Amino acid sequence: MDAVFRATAIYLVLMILFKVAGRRSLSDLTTFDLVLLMIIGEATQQALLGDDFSVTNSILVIGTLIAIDIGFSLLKNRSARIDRLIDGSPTIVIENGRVLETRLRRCRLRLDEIMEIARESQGLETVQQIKFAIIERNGKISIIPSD
Amino acid sequence: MDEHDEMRSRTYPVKEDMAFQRRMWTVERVGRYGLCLLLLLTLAGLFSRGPLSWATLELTHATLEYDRFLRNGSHTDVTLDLHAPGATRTVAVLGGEALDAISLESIQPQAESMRTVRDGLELTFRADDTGHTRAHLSLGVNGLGLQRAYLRVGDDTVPFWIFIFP
Repeated sequence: MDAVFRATAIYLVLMILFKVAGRRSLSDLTTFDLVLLMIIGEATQQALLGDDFSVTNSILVIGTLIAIDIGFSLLKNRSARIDRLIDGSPTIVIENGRVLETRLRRCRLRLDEIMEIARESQGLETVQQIKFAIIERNGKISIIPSD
Repeated sequence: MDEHDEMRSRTYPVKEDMAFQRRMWTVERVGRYGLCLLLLLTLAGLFSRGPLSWATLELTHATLEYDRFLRNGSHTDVTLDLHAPGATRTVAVLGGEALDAISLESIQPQAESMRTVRDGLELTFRADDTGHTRAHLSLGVNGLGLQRAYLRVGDDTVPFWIFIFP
């Protein structure tokens, strides 16, 4: 019984914490982010399994996590509202070469970071060359160059 | 470009919902304050080991130092001071429902005898020349929620509580 409770509690807590952290937090993994993720995984593992390292317990925990995940994906398919609540919605931060400063600030992003991605992905040099920069639901930034 | 225009939802090239996005930004901001509060409360000892958690129980002939906030699956140390001037032995009874949620892992120094009484555990120690005993109890925590307990030394009984986080 406690395996289900543990897995559910950890799933929900992680979901809330990563929601608070914002979309951009772990979308582009630096070396430190990778280490941070490993530490989070290690801390979570103890809470998920407790003292019980049996195969049965791990199967129950994994089964519960996957069941919750499937449950949420079914809910997301049924309701656009829940879909938005869980995955968020895309946000435009540069529109026709103009930087939407307030949005950028609220997303905890700097223009430098957008330009870095624009250079890497599209070979663009200036903001004016960007038609749209969009923070996608998964936290990645899409750059659409001007014609 | 003014802020009002910035917060208007666009429909091309993606369909935005800025009202929802603004609520999410508010949630993120509140969440950040929440995390800071959580860190401060943790440092203060709300989740064990800190000033909010440290507690001392005073009886006429005994003192018990313990953590009132504990975490399931963790360990905690309790210090029991017994003083009975002139006596060669000191006796204390720890009891209450909290005993179901904690397990005695070790006592330093070893008790001379240990036995169960009605709803508690009676510990008898050999006292030093001044009739004093200071015992360290290491306890394993395996329970949840509010648990009530008591310490009895002689005719003096004092109730106390502990709270175990999941």
